[in-house]
Amino acid sequence: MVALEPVLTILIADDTNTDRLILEKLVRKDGHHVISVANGKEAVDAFQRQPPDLILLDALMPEMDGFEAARAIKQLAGDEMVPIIFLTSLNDTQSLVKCLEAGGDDFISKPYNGVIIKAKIKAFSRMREMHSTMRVQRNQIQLHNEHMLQEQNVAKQVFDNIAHSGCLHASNVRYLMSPLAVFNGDVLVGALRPSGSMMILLGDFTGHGLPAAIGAMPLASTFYGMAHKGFSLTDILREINQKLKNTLPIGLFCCATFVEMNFRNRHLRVWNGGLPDAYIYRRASGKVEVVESSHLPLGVVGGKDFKADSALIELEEGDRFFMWSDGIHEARNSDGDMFGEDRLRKVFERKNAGVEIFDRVLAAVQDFAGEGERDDDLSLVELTMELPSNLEQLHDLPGTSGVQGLAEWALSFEVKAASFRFFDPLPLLLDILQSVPGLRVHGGNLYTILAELYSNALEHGVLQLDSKLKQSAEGFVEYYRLRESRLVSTQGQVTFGITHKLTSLGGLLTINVKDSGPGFEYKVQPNAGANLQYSGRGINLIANLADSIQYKGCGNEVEVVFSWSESGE
Amino acid sequence: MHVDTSVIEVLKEVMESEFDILLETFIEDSQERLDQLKLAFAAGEVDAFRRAAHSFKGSSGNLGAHHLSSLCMQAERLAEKGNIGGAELLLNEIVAEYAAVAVEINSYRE
Repeated sequence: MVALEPVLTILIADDTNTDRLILEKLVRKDGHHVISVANGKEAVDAFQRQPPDLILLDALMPEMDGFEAARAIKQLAGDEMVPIIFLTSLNDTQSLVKCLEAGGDDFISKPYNGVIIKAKIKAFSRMREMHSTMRVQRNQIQLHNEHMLQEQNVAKQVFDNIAHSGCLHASNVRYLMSPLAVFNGDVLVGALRPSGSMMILLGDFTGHGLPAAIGAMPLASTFYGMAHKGFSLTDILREINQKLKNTLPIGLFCCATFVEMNFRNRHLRVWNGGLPDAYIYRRASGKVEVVESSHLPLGVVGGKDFKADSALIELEEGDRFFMWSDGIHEARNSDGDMFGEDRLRKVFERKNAGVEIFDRVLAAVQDFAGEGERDDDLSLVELTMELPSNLEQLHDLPGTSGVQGLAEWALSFEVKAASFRFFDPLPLLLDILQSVPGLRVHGGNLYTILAELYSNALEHGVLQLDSKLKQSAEGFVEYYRLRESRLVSTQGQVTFGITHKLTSLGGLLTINVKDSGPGFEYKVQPNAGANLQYSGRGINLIANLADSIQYKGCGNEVEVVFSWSESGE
Repeated sequence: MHVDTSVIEVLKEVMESEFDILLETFIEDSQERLDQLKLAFAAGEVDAFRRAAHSFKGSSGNLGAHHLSSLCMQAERLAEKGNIGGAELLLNEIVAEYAAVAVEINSYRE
């Protein structure tokens, strides 16, 4: 089954009528549509009027010969392919070459051979289609490329907005992230915790370009959001890991090293999941300690399988911590060798004045990779155990100014009589308390304390109910009957005053509850463990849960102090 | 024979109903070319002579008048050298050959 040849529009230019007639007939018989002219100028005009698919052009013509016409037409055609076949009875090499140089794609010699003409038309028609397809595809590729570049630009801008440098400008931090590294999915974020310690996360996402950038966004926003609120390294790691696990497709994950530097007690916490071993350089001895990758990268396993435990290392003032992505180890020279662990070690083993190491590592890699290696894929971070000298500037950065407000606050909350019967203030108050990350883990105890204090204030303080009643079955019923009726008629109120501030160890919560009742005699009480002391107020329970509990004034005011520490106690 | 019959046969097949028109056109063209050749020779215009010879060569070849075509090629080559002073003989040959060709061509017309 022979495929149908496409019907072309063919322009024929020949000044000899006889020849033109024959050619026209041959081409028409082949099924094509013919436009016929007798000189070069007419040929160019005809081309402009209706561009043909193919041109048969006599070389020698009056008014404008074939060569000139061919040049003009090729220029008009631009990057569209319009084959020009010269018709000529010239047979010397020079003339034939002249045809090709003028833009001719082939020639047909006179006298005309119908078979050859038909074959050449077919061949050029095929070529033209191929060329056309190529142009369409090239245009599509160009368009897609433009889209991709636009998308990458947007991704970059969004990422830049989220990943504001936080504390990476601190004087004890040095880093280098080459543009190729960033493109290849390396990300660096750093922030000061409310307590003053510094957290830095270096990540390396699989893939590059847009897929890698996508992962960086949830990582950065989670990191900054939580770090400023005071969440711990463990909490942040878990949250980031879960987010990445949930959102990234299988096969995409993030190797990372997460470090927290505490300047007050000179502790360093390190978590390394998948990045090359980090180094600790001891200033005193000049020796290097290695912190290996001991965890899976972020985004691989979820829930309980993810381990967020970190190594705790004691440092001296001036010790340096180095971390990097695999760009350094995997940098190649012209022979294809990799820079590798050994060469990196050697840089550290040279006589160094600590501060030189960073530059020397870079120089070593760049020397190794050689001149013209414009594909630096390097991410290198150095942290020195020394309090940053430019802390003030860091605190002024946007995103960190919220720190003080969240860390230290006071609230006063009054529950009035009309609300007693319908409104339970405890969930609301507990919610507020739990916005302090350090208090979250104590949620249960705090609720118990608040509940006890409120119950005391309301029932014993405002409603003046005597818990001695509850010792017998009838008394129990009487108690609650009284409670109901007094709730309806009371005009009292209970006021909560809660303050929170940060301490060197963590934080201090002070809860003050005052009721509008007459109070009670609290100063003279014998020692006892029974709950009926303090007129039924469950003081012992509270005393066990909090740091201290103290009654004030006439007994209608009580203050409970509750402290929490960063280590979770 | 001054015209190749096999070429004429093929042309008949190709041109179909326009075969006659083709022969008529050839006669017209040829007359014109001859006039151009004579004029150019008389005026000593080498370029015009060359072009006329070239075109006549082409059309006569297409119609199977091989000898006529070959004579035109000689005339063309002569003109390319730049001097058509001694072309008179050749021109006469062309005129004579064409006369014979025309007779044969006309015999194929209807």
